[in-house]
Amino acid sequence: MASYTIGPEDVCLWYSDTHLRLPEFRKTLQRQDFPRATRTLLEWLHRYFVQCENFPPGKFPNQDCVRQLIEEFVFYRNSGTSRVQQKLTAIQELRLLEELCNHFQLNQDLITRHNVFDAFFGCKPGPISAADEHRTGALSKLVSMAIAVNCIPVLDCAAVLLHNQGASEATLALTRSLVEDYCTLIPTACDLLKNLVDSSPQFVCHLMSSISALYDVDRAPKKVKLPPTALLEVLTSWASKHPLIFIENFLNPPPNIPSFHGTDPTQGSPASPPPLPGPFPGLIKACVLSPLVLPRKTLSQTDVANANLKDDSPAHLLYSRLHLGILQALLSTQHKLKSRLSKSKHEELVSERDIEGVVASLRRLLVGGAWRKQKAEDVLDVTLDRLAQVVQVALSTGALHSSRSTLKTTLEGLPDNQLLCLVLQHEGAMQS
Amino acid sequence: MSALPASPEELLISIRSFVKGIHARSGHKLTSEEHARCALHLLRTLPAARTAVLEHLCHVFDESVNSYLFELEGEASTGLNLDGVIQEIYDVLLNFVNTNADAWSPLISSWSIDLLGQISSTYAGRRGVPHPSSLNELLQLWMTCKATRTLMDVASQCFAAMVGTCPDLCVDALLDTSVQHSPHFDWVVAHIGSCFPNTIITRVLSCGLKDFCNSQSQGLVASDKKVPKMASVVGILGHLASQHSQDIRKALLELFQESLESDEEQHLFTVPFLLQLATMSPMLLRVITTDFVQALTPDVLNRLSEQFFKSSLLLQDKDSLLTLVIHLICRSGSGAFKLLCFLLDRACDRGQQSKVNEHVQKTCALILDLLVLDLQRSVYSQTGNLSLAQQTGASSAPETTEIPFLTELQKHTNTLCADILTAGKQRLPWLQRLLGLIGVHCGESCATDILTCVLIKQSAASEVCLFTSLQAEIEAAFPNILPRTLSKTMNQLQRIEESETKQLLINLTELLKWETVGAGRATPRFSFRSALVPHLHPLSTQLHHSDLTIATQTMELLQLIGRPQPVSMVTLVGVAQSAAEFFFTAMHISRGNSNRHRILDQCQSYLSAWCQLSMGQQLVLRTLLEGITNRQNCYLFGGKPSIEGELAPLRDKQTSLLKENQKFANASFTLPASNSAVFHAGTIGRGLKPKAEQAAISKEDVLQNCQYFLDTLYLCCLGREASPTPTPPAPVLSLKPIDEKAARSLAGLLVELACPDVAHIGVAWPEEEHMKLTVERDLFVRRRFEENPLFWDFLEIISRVPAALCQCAVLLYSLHATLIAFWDTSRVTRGDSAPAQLRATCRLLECMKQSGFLPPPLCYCSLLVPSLEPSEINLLLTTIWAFLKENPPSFNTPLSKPDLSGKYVSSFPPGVTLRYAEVIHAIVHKNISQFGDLYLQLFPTLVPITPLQGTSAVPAVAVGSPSQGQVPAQGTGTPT
Repeated sequence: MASYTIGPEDVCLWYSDTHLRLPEFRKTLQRQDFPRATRTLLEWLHRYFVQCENFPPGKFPNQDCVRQLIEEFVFYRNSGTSRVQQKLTAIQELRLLEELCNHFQLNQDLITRHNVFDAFFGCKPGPISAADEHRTGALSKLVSMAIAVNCIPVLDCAAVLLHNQGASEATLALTRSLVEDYCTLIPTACDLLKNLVDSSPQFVCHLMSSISALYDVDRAPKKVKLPPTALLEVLTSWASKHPLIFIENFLNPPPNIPSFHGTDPTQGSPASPPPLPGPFPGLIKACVLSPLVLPRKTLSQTDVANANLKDDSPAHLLYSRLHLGILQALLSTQHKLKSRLSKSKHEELVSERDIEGVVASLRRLLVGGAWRKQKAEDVLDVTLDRLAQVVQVALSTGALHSSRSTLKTTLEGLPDNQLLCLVLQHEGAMQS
Repeated sequence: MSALPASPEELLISIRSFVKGIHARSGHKLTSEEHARCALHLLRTLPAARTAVLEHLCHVFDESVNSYLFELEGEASTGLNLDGVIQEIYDVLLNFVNTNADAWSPLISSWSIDLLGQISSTYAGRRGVPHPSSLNELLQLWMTCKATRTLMDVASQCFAAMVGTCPDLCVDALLDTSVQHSPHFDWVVAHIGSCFPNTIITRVLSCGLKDFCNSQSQGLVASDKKVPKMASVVGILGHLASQHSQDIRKALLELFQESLESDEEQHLFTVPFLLQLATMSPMLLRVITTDFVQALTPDVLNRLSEQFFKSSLLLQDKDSLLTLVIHLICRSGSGAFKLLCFLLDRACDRGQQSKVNEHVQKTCALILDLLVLDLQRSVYSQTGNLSLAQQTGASSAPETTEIPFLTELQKHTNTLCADILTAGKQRLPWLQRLLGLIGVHCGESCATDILTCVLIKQSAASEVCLFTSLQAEIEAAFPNILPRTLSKTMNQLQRIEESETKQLLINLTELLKWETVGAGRATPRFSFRSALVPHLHPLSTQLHHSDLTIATQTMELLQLIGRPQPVSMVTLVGVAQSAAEFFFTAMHISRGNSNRHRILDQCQSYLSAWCQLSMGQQLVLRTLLEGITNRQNCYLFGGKPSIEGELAPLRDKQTSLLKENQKFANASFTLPASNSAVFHAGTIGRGLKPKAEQAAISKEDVLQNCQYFLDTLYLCCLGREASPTPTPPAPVLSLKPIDEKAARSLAGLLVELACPDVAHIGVAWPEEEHMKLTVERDLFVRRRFEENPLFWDFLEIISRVPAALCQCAVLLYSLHATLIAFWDTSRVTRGDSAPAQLRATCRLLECMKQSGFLPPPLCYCSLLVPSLEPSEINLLLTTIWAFLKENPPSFNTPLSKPDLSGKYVSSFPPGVTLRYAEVIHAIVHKNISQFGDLYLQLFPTLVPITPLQGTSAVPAVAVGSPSQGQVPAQGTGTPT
């Protein structure tokens, strides 16, 4: 904003004659080199989105022209008609990302910032089309870089984007890329992720949700991908450092900003992805099922000696710590919620449906017999214990509203477990 | 740069510096090294910058290579030294790979391989960079360059890390890059391949197969697309072949075996894939031809045919696959023979017990047919015009003149020849065509080898056509093949075994018969006979072979060949002599043998054919005559071994001269036809004479032998005027006049044989007194005649030509002298009492009469002798001696001429005989009781008959047998 210098022309993209003047605009931008043209366009877009606030929400004039200009002069993907550089090199792309970081850092206007970010990186729901791949790639890099350089505006924007897009392919791709960057490729940079919880809790909250969606056991039953240890560490650290992070989306709900790429009311999209649930359900599921899922990995990859020590293996340890974190979070959210729940009674952190989902997955795993036969009792006990604990704590903190009968029907048919029985009885006693 | 972890602000500064190449704080331009270090820093700390950093590192490496090449080319150095930075990069990357292989290896390996590909092809055109064909130099160059070596190390490390988990990924990357940057990229492949041979080989093969499958199943139009990847597969395998050929072999076989297990598309396409590979690389072809043939057991073949019929795509492609197979077979070198055997075995494997199904058989047969057809086309056009030839492109140009398949088979021609002779009906045509093609393709010497082999070994007479058809095919290319083949065969004649020799002779005979009798004459071809003529001499040595069947077969063959018109002296000497010697061999055949007569007849007619030449005649006669005095032969003709004491061997009990001679003959050594041919081995002081122990032989046999011998001799003496085709010999000694020259040589020979005194020349009858001086010689001569009764017959034959008999004068008067001496001292009452002497006397007188040495009535003495007393005989002989001394016969004066009837007529001056006639007259008178009926014949002039030819100045006296009725009167000399 500070360097708000208008280019040669005073371009107003919201005017109705924009589509006629598009060649002219293009020529103007073509005269400039890569970073300068992008900068100019950014300025134009800024003014454009400022003006858009005067229009009814969700209405963007000359949407196609703007989209075209973005393609050509931000990502340099043109249809080949113009003489503009065809494609950015990786270094130029890095420079672009750096410019964008800079831009968002400097731009104070929240709405406009979100709009620009959405215009650049937002995706249509559904699977990622080939034309959008470069944008999701760039988004991943931008977010990754923002994490590294601690660029909070970008992260916030990304959080909104995640929120808007729900558990779409694009979200999962972004999550996967981030996990790969920070947990797989450069595990030493994990601390940056860990620190993120202080700088942008919103983003972390959404990231947790999408992470649990990414590593959901039911997402790809054929080949279960296990989260890297570093990621578990990060999650654990987030949970223990900032228990309220789990309800961050309740505490600070993201602004509801209409998406530039969003569903066109005229076209109507039947397949809008499910919204991201809070981090609780996914992580509870992961923790409960982990004993059944993990040994398979240790068995297949390492020798029997390791399998004997499975309870001591870092992943098991981390999962139990994560479980503890979840329980603590549930407890600590109790106070916060009490004040809030009066406002929105129907908002539940953990729903009955979530518990049902966990149990369903559990049953599937048990039937599938994928878990080890030996030590079955131990493993199963750990699993059911965790389930019982979560149910108990959730019930007692009021995160879960459920009657004894529904719970009983839900949990019916599971193998016998002392703690689970106890919880059910106790709960029944409490209710009565 | 700062150590980890970096603060966000520092990181931002680093990013800006890196992106702009300018230090973000101080504003100075970063040097290459600083820039690179900055990039490395980002790589370690900022995951988002990964691609950008790697891209920048590409520039760093590129720059380093560039400056290296500049220095190498001797141009001004760029002043850059990035080696330190590159080492740092290497450390960083290696650290990544080592600490977190799963995540980093795929990234870095694909990056490094891609970069290597780019660098290799970018700098390929530089002066300092060797041509891609010289792989080793290229490898050396790039491995001395720090940047490329580092990259290579990085790539190898990544490979090593990935080999265990996801080898396909890296091999795919390698293949893709190879396709893109071949051939400049080959050195990388070669290097990496040699680091991980097993993985690379199997993976490369499976990737190639996958690719092949894809392109195939998409339709056949994509055939041009599949080539590059295949080419790089072949290229990679080619690099590895030198060191890891065994691994490649194993991998190919495994791939093949695996393909049999299921009917998946990939497995169905394995065989076409392998074939395609083989077309592109001779090395792989070698593997396939040598190893796969062994793997193709009947079961496997059946399985393959099953698979084949399951795939519609393959069925569509059948023709081109067959063409491919045939093209490959044509090009297969080593292993070609096994391959051929395999095909033949499978194609001919019919019937219930056959192990392969019908389709396999038919396909094998079809392949053979097409193969022969294709080979034929290639051989005759010598251009290698297969439709697939252009696929191999210019590289095939030098090969076109050579077909490796045939060249390789050339080494196995012997086996093939042996095979063809035992081959069944099905195999025969293929083998025959193939052998013909091999012969035409591999040159004359090979062709002669083949023909020689067939000629020697073919055993069935009906297979004559095999040789002739082969010959016909090869003759089209090499007109002189037949003479060469025969000369080679003749060279081998001494070396091959007896049975083979026999077979060869039989074959030759059959072929000659076919040529002269059969349809063979119709086609224009090199005549066997004319080809055999130069080899008469080596052939004739076989006449001395100890195996009689061989010798007789040779005789038959020789007879079929006949006598060539212009003949060299060596041939003549060898053949004529051998043939004559064979005559005695034939004589030795036991009478029970039914062939004896045929063989003898053959020999006789052959000998007489040679006697058309004067030189031949002389040789034959000499050999015959010498043969008859031979110790081994003489008993056949009623003779006795000559002077036994001398010939008795010293130590050896049985040294057979005949056998000794045969030994020499077998060694192709011809004895000189001279006096030295007679082996004298006698020395004085050997103790007792060993008893003559000859096989008893009946008189009839002896008589028959003698008769046959004389017939032969007579035929030989008939001379040149006889018709060239010898007439069947007359049952009795023919009375046709014999050739004078023959008689002369016969005479010379007889003298040589019978008389030890070689110095005696001259016809002049010596004084009677002289007899006493030559007693020893006379006795010797006489003894020779006694030992060899046939000598008398010779003498008789000679006597038909007076001039020839003159040459024998020494024999005549030696015999004469001994007889005079005998009768002089004989105490028997009548001549009959000493029959041997009497017969000798008679025969001597007959001979003299026949030659016209004696005028009548002297010539009729032989009639008187048997009835006379010894003293009277003595008187007669002395009288004749005296007459001959007065009127010696002479071969110079035309003393006698044959008259019209062929009899010799002597003419003596009138009155010469008067004196001698008186003696006879007196004797007749004395025994008139016995000779009354002869009187008129003896003394016609004493009977009052008017002479018929008073006008003739020199009255002629017909000298004939006494039975001849009228004897013309002698004009002068009337006894009182």
